[in-house]
Amino acid sequence: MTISLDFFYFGYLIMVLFYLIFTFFNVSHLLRYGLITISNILVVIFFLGISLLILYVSWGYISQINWQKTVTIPFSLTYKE
Amino acid sequence: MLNFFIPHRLEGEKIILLVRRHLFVLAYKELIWILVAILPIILYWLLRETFDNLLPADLQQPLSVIFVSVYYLYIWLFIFFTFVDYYLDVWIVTNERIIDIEQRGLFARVVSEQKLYRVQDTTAEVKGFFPTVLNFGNVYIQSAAEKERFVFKQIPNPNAVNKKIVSLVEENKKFHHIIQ
Repeated sequence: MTISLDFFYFGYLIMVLFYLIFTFFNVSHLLRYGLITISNILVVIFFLGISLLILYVSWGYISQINWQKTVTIPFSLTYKE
Repeated sequence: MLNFFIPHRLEGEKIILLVRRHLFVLAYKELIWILVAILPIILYWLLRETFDNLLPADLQQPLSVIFVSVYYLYIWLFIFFTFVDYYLDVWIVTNERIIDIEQRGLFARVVSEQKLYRVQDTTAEVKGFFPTVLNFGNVYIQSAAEKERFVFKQIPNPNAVNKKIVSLVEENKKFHHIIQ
């Protein structure tokens, strides 16, 4: 069976989209119910900073891959000696 | 001055106590996520040859990149969510009432309250090794005509908090002319 790597790339983008949605809810809960204080804002900035760092480093690797490429997937994944 | 979002704040109401779980509880939960973050590195190190032969060569790099990126993004999200959940679970004692605010996941928030003058009985409990060493535990608050007790869970200095609540309840009962 052949499959385009796009399939995995779109799957990844969907996971990132869910990540952003949950991030939005977390941040809005913290600021709405915990009040907008300097410590809260610093926590949010720290969280968003590390998130951006993970996405930036990931993008460094993702951009090097040719996602248009098709690959053949064996029907049974077997361990090769 | 203590400050926090209080639902339908009464006129002249002041926050006397604002209590969260002990920091040890947060640290313990975060530690579990850190261990979960380290786990794939240890597994890969132990089973490197097996992983290298498991997938076709063309798929190895794209899938590894996607897996590592998603895995660490979500671990980071759960670490943050654990903090938000800890931070928003709060017990507030004002000069008029006790408010229990509990964040249950991302989409549920339960707020219950009790007038101070309705409180009948309070109990502080410190149970277990870490709670005894670090001085944290529960405070149970029983009110009149209520089957369900308020529980301040895993809070620091439960005995001191208990004492403070008892004195506030007595003051409040005097203020409302409720003679015990």
